[in-house]
Amino acid sequence: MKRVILYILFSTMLFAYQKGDSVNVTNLGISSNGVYLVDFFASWCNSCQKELPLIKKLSAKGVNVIGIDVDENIDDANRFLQDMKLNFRVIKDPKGDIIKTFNPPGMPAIYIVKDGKVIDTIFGAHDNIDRYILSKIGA
Amino acid sequence: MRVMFLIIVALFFSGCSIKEVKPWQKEILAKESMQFSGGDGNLRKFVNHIYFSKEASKGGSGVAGGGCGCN
Repeated sequence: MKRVILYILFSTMLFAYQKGDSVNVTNLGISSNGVYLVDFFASWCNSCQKELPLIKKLSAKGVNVIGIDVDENIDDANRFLQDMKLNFRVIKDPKGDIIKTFNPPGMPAIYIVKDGKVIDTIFGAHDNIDRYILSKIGA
Repeated sequence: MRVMFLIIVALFFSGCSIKEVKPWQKEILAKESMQFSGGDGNLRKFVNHIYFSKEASKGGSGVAGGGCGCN
C-alpha cells in the first residue's frame, strides 16, 4: 500500500528524464557517442529569449545543440526562429510529443546528454549559462 | 468491504481533480493580457491610481515602497 501511495505521489517525477537516464527519443538525432545539448524553448517564454543568445554562443564554439520549439502555433514558431537567427538545428514540437517525454518542471529547460545519457538538467534562465555548461561538459 | 471503501475514497478524491497545466502549455497564461488590469499600460496606471487614492497607500504591486500614504 505504501508503495502504491509513493508511486502516485512521485509518478510525475518518475516519468521525467533525470540525471543518469538514457534518452530514447529517436527523432532527436542523438547518437550514442558525444555530448548534446537539448534546449526546450518557446516564443512566449521571455526567459528563453534571454538565454538563447548564450546557447548560440555555445553552438558557435562547436557544442552540438538541438533546439526544440514547443510553440503550438507554427506561425509563431517560424516568426520567432526568424527573429532569433539560431545557428543550430531546431525541431518544432507543436503537439508537445518530444517535451512530454522529457517532462521538464519549467521553461526554459536544458538537458545535457552525454553518450546517450542525461548528465545534467538546467531549468529556468540563468546568467552565464554558457560558462556553466562549458564547465559541465569539460570543453 | 475494505477494498470497496478504499476505491470509493479514491474516487471521491479524484472526482474533483484539476488537470495540471504543464510548463510548455502556459502560452496563454504568459500573455500580457493575463496580467491584472490587462496588457494596457494606461489602464494599469489608472487602476493603480484608484487603488492608491482609495487605500491611501502606494506600492506593493511588485515594486519597492508603499504604505506610508505620504504622496
